[in-house]
Amino acid sequence: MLRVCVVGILAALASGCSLVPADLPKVPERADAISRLEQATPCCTALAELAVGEMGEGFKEIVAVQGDEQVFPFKSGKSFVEAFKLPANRSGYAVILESYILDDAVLAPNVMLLNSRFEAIQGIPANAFVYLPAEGFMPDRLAYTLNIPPELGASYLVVFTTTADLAGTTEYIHPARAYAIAQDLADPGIPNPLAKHSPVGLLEVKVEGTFVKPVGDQGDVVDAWLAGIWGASTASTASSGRSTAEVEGIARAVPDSSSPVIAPAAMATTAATVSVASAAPGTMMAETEAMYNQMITQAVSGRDIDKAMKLVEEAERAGSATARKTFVEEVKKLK
Amino acid sequence: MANFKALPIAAAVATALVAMSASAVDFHGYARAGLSTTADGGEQTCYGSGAGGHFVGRLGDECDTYVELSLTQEIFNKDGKQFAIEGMWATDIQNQGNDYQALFSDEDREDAREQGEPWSGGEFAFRQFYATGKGLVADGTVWMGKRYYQRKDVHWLDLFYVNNSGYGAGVEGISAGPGKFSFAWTNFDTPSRILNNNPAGENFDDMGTIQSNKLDVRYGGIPLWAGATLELIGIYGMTDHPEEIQDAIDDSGWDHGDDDGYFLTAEISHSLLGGFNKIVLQYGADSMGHAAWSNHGGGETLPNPWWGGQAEESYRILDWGVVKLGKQVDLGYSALYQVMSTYDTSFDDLTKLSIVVRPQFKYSDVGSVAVEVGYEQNEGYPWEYEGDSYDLSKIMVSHNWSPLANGGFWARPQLRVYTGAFYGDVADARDDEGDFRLGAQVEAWW
Repeated sequence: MLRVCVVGILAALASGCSLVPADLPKVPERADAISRLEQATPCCTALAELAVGEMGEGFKEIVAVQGDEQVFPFKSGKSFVEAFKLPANRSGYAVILESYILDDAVLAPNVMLLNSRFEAIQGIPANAFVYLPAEGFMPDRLAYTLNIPPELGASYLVVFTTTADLAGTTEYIHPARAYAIAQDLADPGIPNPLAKHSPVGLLEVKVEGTFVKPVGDQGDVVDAWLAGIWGASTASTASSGRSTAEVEGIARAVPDSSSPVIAPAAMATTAATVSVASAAPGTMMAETEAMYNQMITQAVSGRDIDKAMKLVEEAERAGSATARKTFVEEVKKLK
Repeated sequence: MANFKALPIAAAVATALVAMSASAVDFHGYARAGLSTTADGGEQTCYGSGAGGHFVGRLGDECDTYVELSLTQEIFNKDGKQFAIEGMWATDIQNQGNDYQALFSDEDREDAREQGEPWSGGEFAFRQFYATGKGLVADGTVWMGKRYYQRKDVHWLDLFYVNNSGYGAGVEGISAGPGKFSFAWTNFDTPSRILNNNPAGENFDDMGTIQSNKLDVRYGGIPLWAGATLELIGIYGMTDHPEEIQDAIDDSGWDHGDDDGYFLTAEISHSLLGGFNKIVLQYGADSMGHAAWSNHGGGETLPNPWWGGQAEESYRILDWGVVKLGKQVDLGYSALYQVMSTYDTSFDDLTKLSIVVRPQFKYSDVGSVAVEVGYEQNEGYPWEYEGDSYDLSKIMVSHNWSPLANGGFWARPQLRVYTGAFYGDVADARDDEGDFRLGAQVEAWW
């Protein structure tokens, strides 16, 4: 009797019947996704025309970029785009993004924050994302925490990838190595696999009602926010990747004869965005430098961040090398 | 109470450390537990074990509960110097008993464990406590204490083909030339009563434990071709008899009173079919003569053979790997051949051949079906199976739930329901041939 039951179960096991809960959304293979991207026609010419989804507080979803989304012609290359309207929030909140590494492929996310006029105010390039190894039921992933203060005036969040990113890879820990680490075994002595960057992928997006500690070694909350505003205006673009200023430049699609895609005047920049320094840093006189730093300090301690930011911009344009650093130090003290 | 001694110490250490530094404690571990029944009735019998290994594969062949819990904490990190400590304790319960399994029972403790008394059979062991220091000696890591030291295993055989774990001190991973060099001093103790087997009839009962020392030298990461590396391991075991014992042994003219020995391993690891393959060659002699035959070779060095049937020399050829055969199929496979010669020359060499494959077919992001087929053929001691060669084979099918997105074949925890049966001489001798067992088990590591 039991033998018959066992055989019946055996047959059921072998057929792999659906005893299983909901699966992760399917994404196309990288080669397929790239050809879909190449053939896709752009949806629009201005960021304001993008279809935007809601992202209220408590948003927690796996956003599947599957190759049938809207495509925008960024200067950095055509890309599938996910755009969200950020929650209206009086105090600060955080958006945590995690791009899953699955089947040796990953979407390398670039993130842009736009104000209510769809102008770029902050950009996070893909190489700023931190690699987190698989843990429990979370797969290997690239993660980033955006702590968004209300002063930033961020209204929209846009996620896309660039042509340069698509040529890249992300190294992740071989599962046999993860096993060896978990079980105190010798390292297996084999190379880690490389996940190819794909135009599609799964992105887990979570919104928290308050600031949260950044993932990995992103650093201090204030530094991360300020790095986003100011980028590397003193041309310290590290060999590891592009600065946030570059990402903003890409996103703005500023009319440029070298680019095949020109954006309309609606994309004109405002004074609050990064501007190129017109004087080389360190060329300012010591006295003027000290004067600017003192004014910045006063503005910050008086909680007039807008004024302080304008002062820093002005000082850097005039050739100050320490204005930004002073601002960062002073704001840190505020916390 | 003796049974929970280890637990509060580790917890107290963890608490103190968390107070000292802001970084989190890393919690790692391993665990398996399950239950089963058979078509003929009653709980299944198991052929292999964690101690001996499973030469037809461990899937559906584990009757015990085993848990390891470890806490690791970095306690200092400044100026390029980092210190960390790790503690691990383990629980081993040989029988699938009841919810409360005490260390002791009303009956004799040994008996309780052996007879599988359902409310006892529990055992605790403190397996590791050691500290590491980086930035002290070149680019290597200094360590001291009691630890699992660079173990190598074939997961589905539960075969640790290099396992020199225990008390010791060393430096690992110093870059030297194309590879990295590790050096360790470890020890192994045997009870002195073993020495009572000596020709002069000396009684060594009062001498306590006999220590042997091992020197473990490894040179690894030697690049061969793209994605391939070579590692060479030499472990040398030396007796460390106190003068009194050494004199008595010398006087007795005993051949094997204070044997040294060695265990050599060469391992090539290379990428293959989206995964990897390893080729392992091992040789053990004298006090480590059983190292290439037994499970957990490399830890024990026996200054005198415990009986005539012990191995004086052994060698092993092993090839194993985990590869991808397409997007949905992972395959773990191993082929092993090992030989040992005994101290007692009247026995023929013992040999063992083992071939095991475990393909796993994933049909969703959490569901998979695995099949494990294993075959083992042995030439054993003269009194085993009437001196002929004997075999054991197995087929086991399991349906598994595990987070497959994280490592496919290696994804854990894995909750599985299995069925299958054993065949061959060994199964026949237990009247278990073709008897289907049905079981559910969880295996986890983190």
